[in-house]
Amino acid sequence: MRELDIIVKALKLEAQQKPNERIYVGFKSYTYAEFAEMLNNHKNLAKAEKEFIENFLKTSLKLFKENKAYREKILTLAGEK
Amino acid sequence: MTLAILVAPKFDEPTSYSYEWSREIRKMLEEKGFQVIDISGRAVSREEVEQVLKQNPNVIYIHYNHGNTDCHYGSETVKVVDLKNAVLLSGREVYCMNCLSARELGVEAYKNGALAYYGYIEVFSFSTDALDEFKEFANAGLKYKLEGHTWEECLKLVKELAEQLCQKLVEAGKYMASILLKQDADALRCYTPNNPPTDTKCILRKVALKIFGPKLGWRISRTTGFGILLTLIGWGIVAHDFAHQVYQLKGTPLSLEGGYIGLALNLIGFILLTSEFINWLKR
Repeated sequence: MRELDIIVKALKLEAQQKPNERIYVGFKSYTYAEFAEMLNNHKNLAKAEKEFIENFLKTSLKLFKENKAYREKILTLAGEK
Repeated sequence: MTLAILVAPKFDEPTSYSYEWSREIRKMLEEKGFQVIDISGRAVSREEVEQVLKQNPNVIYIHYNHGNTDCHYGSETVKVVDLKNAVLLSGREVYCMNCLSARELGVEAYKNGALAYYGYIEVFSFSTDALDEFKEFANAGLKYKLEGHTWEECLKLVKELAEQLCQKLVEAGKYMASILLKQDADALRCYTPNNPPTDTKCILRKVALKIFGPKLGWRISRTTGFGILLTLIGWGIVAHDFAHQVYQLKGTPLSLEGGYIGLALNLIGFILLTSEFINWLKR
């Protein structure tokens, strides 16, 4: 599995655990589930949303590579460890 | 008593959270002896913000809630500060917790002589499972400033704090929140005379920043840069055309001609004028 796929899988699982929490991005707001869904389907989003999600994925990958605790926890949550 | 202007409009769901964060800012300022001119908790008009800025020159201005690359919002549609009235930010410190405004408005404020512009070049995002951490991060810059740090130190300390908060969120299993907070921290900027902006998408500006450095690079207007570019392209075309004509007449482009002397004088004159202009900008 690619690193990004593992991260997205883990974040989707996190979203399932938090049905009542929301994410605010400027004027817009999303449930965790809505936001997690966009991680896989961001190619067809509006330009600003697409850029935000791409930046989010880039940051998550950077954290995965640089932060050992984050990497371990994501791998565990995704069932890859 | 020292004054501070706090503008934290409240008109939708996200602003109801950031408005609450701004209450801590007000409390911090009052504890440090500031008298806070507080225009908050509702939709705010451009006129009232302009009026209070005009009446209180050089007073720190704090804006919480929605923003865009070129403005601070007072409501969903009203821009209370934008590129047209950015001159009102000159000579004062500006502290923002809004989206994107450091990208253009912050640069404009820097060019207009703002003492500091603390803000974000990307959209500010947060999640409801880590509100305390986002609030701590959003308010930390001003907290450090009120403790006596310089703005450059504040930026460094807030970035360090963001690393700690990210780690805390990871440990607590709040992965999305940790990524959002890291994104916010990466987008944070603080422009001061000692720390000028360096982010730009304009190619000519990039060239100017590369050649002259950020302090001078931002002072050269787009029109000046474009004028210099056109002059050099025009000079190149004339030089090439003249050399070609000489080659056709004499079989070689190398010949002592009045045209070459004129072009050389042109170039020397242009270099002298440009260097004088640069020296004037430096002053």
